[in-house]
Order: sequence, then structure tokens, then C-alpha cells
Amino acid sequence: MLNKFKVVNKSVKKVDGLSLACGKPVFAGDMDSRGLLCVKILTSTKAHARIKHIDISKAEALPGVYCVLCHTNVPRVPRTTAGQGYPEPSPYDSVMFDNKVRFVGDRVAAVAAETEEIAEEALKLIDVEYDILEPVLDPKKAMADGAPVIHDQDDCKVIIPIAYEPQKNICAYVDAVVGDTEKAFAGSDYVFEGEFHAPKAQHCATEPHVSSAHLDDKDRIIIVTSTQVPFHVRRIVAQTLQLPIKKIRVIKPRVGGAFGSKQEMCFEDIVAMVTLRTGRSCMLKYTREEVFVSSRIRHEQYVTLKGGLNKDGKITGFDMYVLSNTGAYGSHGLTVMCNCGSKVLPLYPAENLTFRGHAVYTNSPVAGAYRGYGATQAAFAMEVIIDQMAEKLGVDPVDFRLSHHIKEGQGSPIFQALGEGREGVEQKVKSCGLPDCIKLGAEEINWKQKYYKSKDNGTIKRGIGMAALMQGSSIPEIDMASASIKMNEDGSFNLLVGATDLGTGSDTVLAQIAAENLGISEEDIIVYSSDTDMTPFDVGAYASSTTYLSGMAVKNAADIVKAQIISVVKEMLNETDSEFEFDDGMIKSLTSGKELAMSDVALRAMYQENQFQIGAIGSAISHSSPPPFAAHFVEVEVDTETGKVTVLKYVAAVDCGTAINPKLAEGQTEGAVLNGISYALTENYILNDQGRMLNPNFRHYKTLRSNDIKELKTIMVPTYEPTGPYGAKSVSEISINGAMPAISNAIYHATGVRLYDAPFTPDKVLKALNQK
Amino acid sequence: MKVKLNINGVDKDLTIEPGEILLHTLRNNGYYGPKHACSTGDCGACTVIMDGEAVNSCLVFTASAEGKKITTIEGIGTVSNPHPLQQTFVEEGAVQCGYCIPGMILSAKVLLDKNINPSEEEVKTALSGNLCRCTGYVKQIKAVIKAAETMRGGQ
Amino acid sequence: MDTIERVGITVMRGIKDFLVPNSLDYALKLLDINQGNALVLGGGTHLALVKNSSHEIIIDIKRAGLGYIKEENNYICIGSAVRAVDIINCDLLKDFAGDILQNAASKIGSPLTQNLVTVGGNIYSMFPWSNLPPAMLVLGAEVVLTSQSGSRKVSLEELLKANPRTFVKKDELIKEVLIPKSAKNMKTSYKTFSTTENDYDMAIVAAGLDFDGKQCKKASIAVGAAVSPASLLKTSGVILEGKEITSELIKESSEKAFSDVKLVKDFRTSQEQIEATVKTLVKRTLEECSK
Repeated sequence: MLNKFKVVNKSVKKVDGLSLACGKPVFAGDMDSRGLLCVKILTSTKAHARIKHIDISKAEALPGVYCVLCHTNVPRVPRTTAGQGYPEPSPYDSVMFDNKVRFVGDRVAAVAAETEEIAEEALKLIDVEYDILEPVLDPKKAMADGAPVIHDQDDCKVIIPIAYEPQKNICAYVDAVVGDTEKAFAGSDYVFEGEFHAPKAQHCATEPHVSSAHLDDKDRIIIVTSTQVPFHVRRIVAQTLQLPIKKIRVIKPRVGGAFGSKQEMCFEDIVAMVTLRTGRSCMLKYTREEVFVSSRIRHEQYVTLKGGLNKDGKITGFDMYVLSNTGAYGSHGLTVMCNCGSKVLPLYPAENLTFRGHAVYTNSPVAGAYRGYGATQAAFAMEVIIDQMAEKLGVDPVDFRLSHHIKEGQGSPIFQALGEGREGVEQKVKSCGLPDCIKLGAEEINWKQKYYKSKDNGTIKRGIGMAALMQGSSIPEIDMASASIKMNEDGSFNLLVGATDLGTGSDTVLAQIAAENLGISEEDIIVYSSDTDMTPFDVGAYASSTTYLSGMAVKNAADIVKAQIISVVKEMLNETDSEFEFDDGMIKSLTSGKELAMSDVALRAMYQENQFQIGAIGSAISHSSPPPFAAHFVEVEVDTETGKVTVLKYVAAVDCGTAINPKLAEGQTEGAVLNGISYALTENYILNDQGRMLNPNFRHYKTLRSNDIKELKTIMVPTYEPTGPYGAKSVSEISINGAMPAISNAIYHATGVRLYDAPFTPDKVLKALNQK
Repeated sequence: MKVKLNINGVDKDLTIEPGEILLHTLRNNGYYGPKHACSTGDCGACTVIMDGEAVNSCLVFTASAEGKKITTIEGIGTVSNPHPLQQTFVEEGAVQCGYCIPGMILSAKVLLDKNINPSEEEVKTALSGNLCRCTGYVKQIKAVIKAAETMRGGQ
Repeated sequence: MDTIERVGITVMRGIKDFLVPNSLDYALKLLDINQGNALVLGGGTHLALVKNSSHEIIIDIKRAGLGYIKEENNYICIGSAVRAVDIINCDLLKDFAGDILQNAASKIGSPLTQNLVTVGGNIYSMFPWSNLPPAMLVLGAEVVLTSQSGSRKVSLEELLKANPRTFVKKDELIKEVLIPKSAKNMKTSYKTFSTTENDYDMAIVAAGLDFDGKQCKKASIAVGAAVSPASLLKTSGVILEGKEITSELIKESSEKAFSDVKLVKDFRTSQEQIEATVKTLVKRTLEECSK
């Protein structure tokens, strides 16, 4: 099936690759900002306080200051900033500017001034009097009786029925039960349990958040912003400013990485309000420090996983409890937590499953979407427990997973039980390349030899570990994507998609899908994306949905366009009943063998006879979320005298169905793996006991460089997903989930010490080794 | 104060503030290739070549750069006539979001200008000042080695 | 008004004049005229992060003739504007004391910052992670401070202990570092500890041993990053002097590492871990020197 693709499954060059390599000014901040007002935000230095009094008069009076915003002069409209479909499953617990601050870095006021210098000066002139409240940073403490209430305002609410108890700092509660785990565990030969701590982390996208706004000639607000979710941004800004959606246009230019940190309405409401109030264009750019503290971070989670096992190898059940620290506001609080269960529990089928979770408010920086989205944190727990099960039975971890993972044709009750805010969707796995992922990956890392070698005697010990993974592709029944295609007279097409290319290459991949369907080269597709005026709707880049869902929409649009072309060809050739084939820019009649060029058809339809614009909009929603699968293997070296863990070799074997663009799919995998490794080993998001982040910079928050990887190998294992465009599934998130469990397992193999608390920094490793 | 800078082979007379940083000056004068990403010299997105050496332009005072030859990414190739490195980066799939790429390519260029046959280790070291969060560096290292091959005449 | 600290800058505010003297004499003259109101700029990797300056003048000394590495009398003289990359590429320093200076310079930041960081700045700024001072301490380095009224020499050890920011007078600048040529045949080792390759080091140990046959005549061990300022470990060194190096002796020496210095708190790791790491690095550098 794969061999007959002409454009798909080829590593064609990215459509924007060369302009990026030549440094063209295509990012939101790449404009002469000297004519724009500079917007700066005053943020809180207190983790929890009421704003007793705020005086902006001195700031407003400073020459060159055009506008100062704070809670006293903007409408109070509760909303969620989460970039999710409406009605959002996140609570409406935030307003543009509030009379309370809930974390160090929370918004207090904003200034728009002629220059950066004046804006900074104006910030200093804003007088704030705080009533300091007791902060709570630990989610366990935040849930306890008597904890300070973070959202005590009377207008916070949820708009779909979910369990929301802000008086107890509970942002969301969810549970799903299948069978009876308590009974199952009581009757099991072995029960395993562990509490796993997955830490906070920041995405560290190279481009800091940036948005600009201006009024066009009709006084509509035009926002140009680095975002994953232009349509959600438009809706939330309209809601916040109490304007009709038609007054706002959101454009996403090139984005310098996001990984979930821009799946929010971050501060587009502020630039829009400034433009509305002043009539002037303005720009807000976060500094790196502000990105670390005031944008979004990953949900810190305590995942308690219990698993039952019988001597005969049967897994009797899993009980997963997730305590999720959602930070000061609840965006993505419920849904990240649900994903812990829905993307991890189905991997090893069992008849009894219990999933419960609390997402809890604390006075910490706000957690939001981050690549992996709960599956990362929960996979840590699952893959270590699985290793423990294998060890108990004396079975090779590779073989244990091969015999226990979900197979093609199987389903899981969890798919139905756990959705994202709404009920989930029943589904069966229709493509699963996990067996080959496991076998090929094990071979590449030399598993048999390294796992069974005798232990190292010296102070430097080597070990090997693995993890098996699954994710999803899109959110079924909830998210929608669409694409519009129109034909030009030279046989080229404009492809307009709402889908959001963050550097992920979706513009290219979608062009390939369109080109494959139309039988042309992807170079004849002109892509324009993510402009709420010009491109049809797409939820945006998240939930691993662009290739799968937006790809289907593109294929659907191309199908309609093909039908239109055929109608013209039939007229031109006078063959009303023939079948036609699209290949190499030609349409060939399978009856007569006559062919016409695309451009011939276009010219006729545009200028000559029965003229009409060949073009269509295609939409797609998905009815399932077919999981990609992966098996990751890692060899580590542990220096038992310093506690340092070094990754020697990492192998990621991935089944993403058909890789529409193999090099881009590999690139996504490699980037995700490296992010997973630093999440496991070096990224340490440190808050002091007053809630202030101590290392909001690249100096002391460590991500990995080119000389930190010894060997990283990616193996793409092709399968064919029947519900996906040309057999494709997603690939962008899954590979960030493997490093933490695989490295924990490898450290155990090397030293006999199991680490449940990430990141596995030298001090933690050394402490665990010394305690042994 | 007034300074004369040589940028991409062109002499420019500019008016700057005495305490101005080179990255800021370059971007204010239409050179958008070098980027603000951390502005503390820790990520290399602002890399430019100064007298044949790659430096963080966010750590250089503009007035220090007077009399030096400054090269930004705009100066080594264009879309219609790209430098071999720009070509191989695209061909190898080494460009994802592209934000780190101008800096990365300039660091690679400085390496290849001094050593046209670098080992993989030497490439890794040369790129180690440039942070990328998208790619995992694998394809970027490959692209540099491939460009070196091209520039050697295919050997 | 309280705001979150912002560190990356576009313009250092408050600066009224940026001067680039083309000779040391002229630089000293400018420093004398503007003393108390002038910032001396070497590589700029520290100064380029200062948002608001209380000083009005920047004096850039990169073209003031301080970029030399030369032999003079019994010393190798390294001008304060010499950069890390210049040390790495210097023929004169090749094979000098086991390339310890080159090893130290290679650990500075990244290849990008190595093109900027200067010897003078690496000493003056007193960042705990500065890579050159421990290596220079082991070599017995001395520092020449100079002003319009004359020069004075001080051991690097003394300068660091006294804190350059107070010791160096307002009309003085660091002219050069003198490395005694007698250190040429030292057996040296330089090791650092950090979580990633290019990280700001959390522990730095430099060791240099002079041998007379199999006996260790002199042992210099210096620690940086985990202590402030970078310091020589006198007790650990004395244990080895006059003896043949054995693994027991090395262990004893490493155990005594904290007799003369105190750990600084590092929020990135625990005291236990960094203490164990320093001792481990002392052990490993001594093992390497004794090979």
C-alpha cells in the first residue's frame, strides 16, 4: 500500500524551510516596532494577596504613556484562557485584571508607552498596596482542611457539568470505574504500588511569547500573535473585551516553537484592549524570565499507581490516582488529568480499572498544556510498575510488554469512560506496530547483551531500560478541522487551512496530502494558514490532531475539488460515464485514455465555458483517536560518586501509521526525545517557599545542547491506520513520554535503586544510592 | 552617539545610544535574522559573525563592534542563491520552527570556514552554543556534515 | 516598585559615553579622569546584563593593547583582554603545565562566549563558576594592577580572597596575569561537574603536582564554583608533599578538602551532593596527575 504514494511518505522540503534558513522576517516580533506602543506588564511579587489599593495616576501622567490598565478600569469578565473548543472544560476563573493576585508573576497592571524605557519607568510609578494572604504551594496541603482558598471570588464557575469545588481548591475531580479493582487486588498473587512524582517544567520554546495589535481602516482589531490556537484566541478576546467576534481578526505568522505553552489566550486581550483604547498599534513581548514564570508550565503530578498480577502472568487490574497541581488558574486542569488515564491505562488491557484524579489549585505559576499532556507524567508510573511486574515473574521486560500490550482489534473500556471533559468514545485499535517497535528497538540497543551482562564493579555503572507508549490522534467527536482549496489557471492550488504550523511542518504535510489526492507535486500547492479571516476553522495545534484531523479535512476538500474537475473534464472530453485518474498534473480517462492537463481544465472553468471557481471547503471531525505507539530504549551511565546520570544511547521506535513526511516525523521524534531526557534529568523548576521561581533563565534551567547527546537513533515502523489520511496517525507528542520511565528503569538496572521522584538530579540519585 | 558599522559588507552610519546592545541595533535596522530568545548569552539565537568569529550579539555593545566586519544570516545567502549550509539544513529536515536556525547556521559556517572536514564531535562542539528545542540536533549535525562534503567538492 | 527581575537588556540605561582607547596609557588616563564613574568593559558577558548603570562611562579595553600572551623574564604574561579562545589557540601555552589553561578555557560557556570572555573579566567578576581562576591558582599566578600612578603585583590567591571589586582601586585596572615559567612541567588535571556539558559548573577542581622522581615535591589543589572565592586547598596539598603518591594518600587528601574552605549554598543541588562531588573530583584529578 505504501509503495504507490507519489508525494505522501516522501521527505519533501518544508515549504517555509528556505525562508527560515535565510532569516526572513516571518515571526511576530520581526517588524519595526519603533512605531508601535511598547506594552509591559506589572506582575505580582506576592504569591497570594488582595490588591487593597492600586494607584495608576502617576504612571498615566508620565509623558509618553498612552494607557494604563488594571482592575479598576477594565470590564470584569470571567473566562478561561485555555485554548480549547467551546464550551471549554476549564473553569472560568480568570479575568483580564483582578483585584487579587494568586502567584508570583500574576498580572497586576499593564502599561502602553511610546518606548520601552518609558514603559519600564511607568511600571515603577504604579503604587500597589497588598493585603498579604497565606500562600499554599503544595497540592496535598491545598486540599487539606483549613487551607487558604485561592479562588474565593463569587463569579468563578464551570460551564459544563464537571466536579468543581473552588472552596476546597479543587479545580476538577474525575473518576472512572470498570469492574472492581479492590476485589481484584485482594484476589491477586502480587500487588504493586508506587507514588510517582513528575515535576513542573517549562516548555522553553526558543521564541518568547509575542503579540501585536492594530486597528485596520474599518476599526477592526487585527492581532498578529505567536499562538497555537488563533480561533480560540479570537473567541476569548471577543468575550473578554465584550466585542462581537466579527470585530476581531487573529493572524498567526511563523511561530518559534510552542509545545503547548501557546495553547492559551496568553495576553492577546491586553494588546487588543490597548489598541482599542488608544487607537494606536502596539506590541507586547515577553522576556525569557516572564516566559518561565508568567506563561504556562507543565502540571506537576503525583501519580499513585497500583497494579495486580497473578503468577500465570495475567494483569488483574490497575488503580490510578492522579493529584495534579494546576497552579493558580485552572486552564487545562481537568483535561490533562483525564489524559493520564485515557492515554496510559489502555496500553495493557485489564478487566478491572479504577481511575481517579484531583486537579488542585495552588499559588504556583499556572500549569497548562505541555506536549504529552498528562500521558507523560502517567507513563512514568505505568512503565516502572510494568518493569516491576516483569521482574517479579522473572520475565524479560521486553517479553513482558510484548505479551501484555493491547493488540490490533482490541479495545479498552477506558476509551469510553474517560474523555476530555465529556464522555469518551469507544474505539478499537485498528493499527498497532508496537510489536515491531519493541523488537527493532531492542535489537538496535543490543538489549539481550546489555540487559544480561554482569554488573559493573567500579564507581561508574551502566544500565539499560525501556518504556512502551501510546498516545492518541485528535479528540474524537469534539474537535473539528477544515480546509479550503481553490484552483488557479496554471493548475496550481491555494490551500487555506486553519491548522497551525508551529514549526512542526503542518503546512508542508497538509500540502503533501492535498497534492497526493490531486495527483500533482506539492510545489503546486500554495499554503496559507491560521488567519481567522481568510482560513476556515481549525481548533489549532494540539492533541496531536493536525496530521490526522486537519489532514482528513484537506483530503475531503480535495475530494470535492476532484469531483468538480471531473465534471469539467467530462464536458471537455464529452465522456459522461468514464472514470478518471489524477496523476502527474494530468487527468486521464480510464475509458478512452485521453488526458487533459490541470491547467487546461482551470482555464476553461475560469474563463471559457460554464465558468465557475473550482474550489471547495472540506471539514472533518474524528470518531476515534487512533493511538500511535512507540517503544523507547535507553542505556545510561551512573556515576555513583557524584550522582550524575548520563545517557549513552537512546533508541526511539515509533509507529505513526504512514509518516506523511518521514524526515519531519523523525525530527518531531528526536526533538520530543531530547525534551523527555532533559525533563527526566536536568530541568529543575525551583520555587522557593514564597512561591518565587529561582531560576527563570537558561543559565540555571538546563535543557540539552548538541554536545549532550551521545547517540540518538529513530526507527519509524510503518503501519496503515484506515481512519487516517493515507494511513497516518499522529507523531508529535508520544515520544516525550518515554525518557522518564526508561531512564528510571535503566538506573535501577545499573544500581538496584528505583527512583520515583523526577527529575533525577545528581543530589537525588546520590541520596538514593547512599540510602541503599 | 554615531558609529560606523560594516554589516554584510556594507558600511552603515548609525546613531545609537552609548549603552546599546548590538542585537538591538541590528534588529532596529532591519536585520531580523538574529533573534531575542534569552538575551543573556545562553542560547545563541542572536549569533552573528564578527571578524570571522561567532559571538552572541546580545552580549556585545554596539560601540565595541565599530571597525569590525559583522555578518548576519542575511549576508551569507538568499532564497534564490542560498549558502550550501542553508540548502542542506532544509534538505536534511533540520529546520523546524526556524527560530534558532540563523544562529545555528552561522556557528556552523564559522566552523566550516576554519575546518572543511570536521568530525561529528567537532560539529557538536561548534553548535553547542545554539539551543534548539524542536529538533534534537540530529539532523542539524547531519546537515553540517553534508554541507562540508558539498563545499569540499563532494569528497 | 517591585517587579520580577529582568536580566536581558536592549540598552544599558544611564550610560552617556562609550570610549574605546587604543593604548593602555590612554585607557589609564580615561580611567583616572572618570574614576568612580566608569565601567571597564572586557568581554561584556557580565556587563551586557546590567539594566541600569549608576556609572555614566564605559571604557572598552579590548583595543588597548592588552591582548598579548608573551614570555617576559621568568613569566608567561597574559594580558587581561586575552579571551578564552586566544588561550585555547595559543602556541606559547601548548604543553605548558599539561594544557591546564587550555582545558580550563575550553570549559567556559560555549564556543560563542569563548570568543568574548576575557581573562580580566573571569577574575574580576567573581562568578563562582569562573573557570580560569582555579587553574591559575594551581600555577601560582600573580596579577598586575596598574594605574596612572604606577603598578602593583599581588598573588591571585590574595586578590580573590580580598575580592577584586574592593581590592582593585577605582583608578586601576587589571593589566595582566603572570604565570611563573617554573610551573611548566607540573603534572596537572582539571575537572568540572555540571548537569549538562555547557552548564555553569557546580564544582571545579584543578590539581598540579611537581614530582622529583616518584616523590611529590609540591602539590597545589584548587577548588572553584562550590566555594567562593576559588581557593587553594592547603591541607589537602600538604598531605601529599614529600611523599610517594598512593591511593590511600589521595583518599586522605580528598577527605580533607573542606579543612580550608566552606561550601557555598547552591540552590541547584544539595550540600551533601556537592561536597561528595568536590571530594570525588579532588580524588580523580590527583589520580590523573599521578599516572
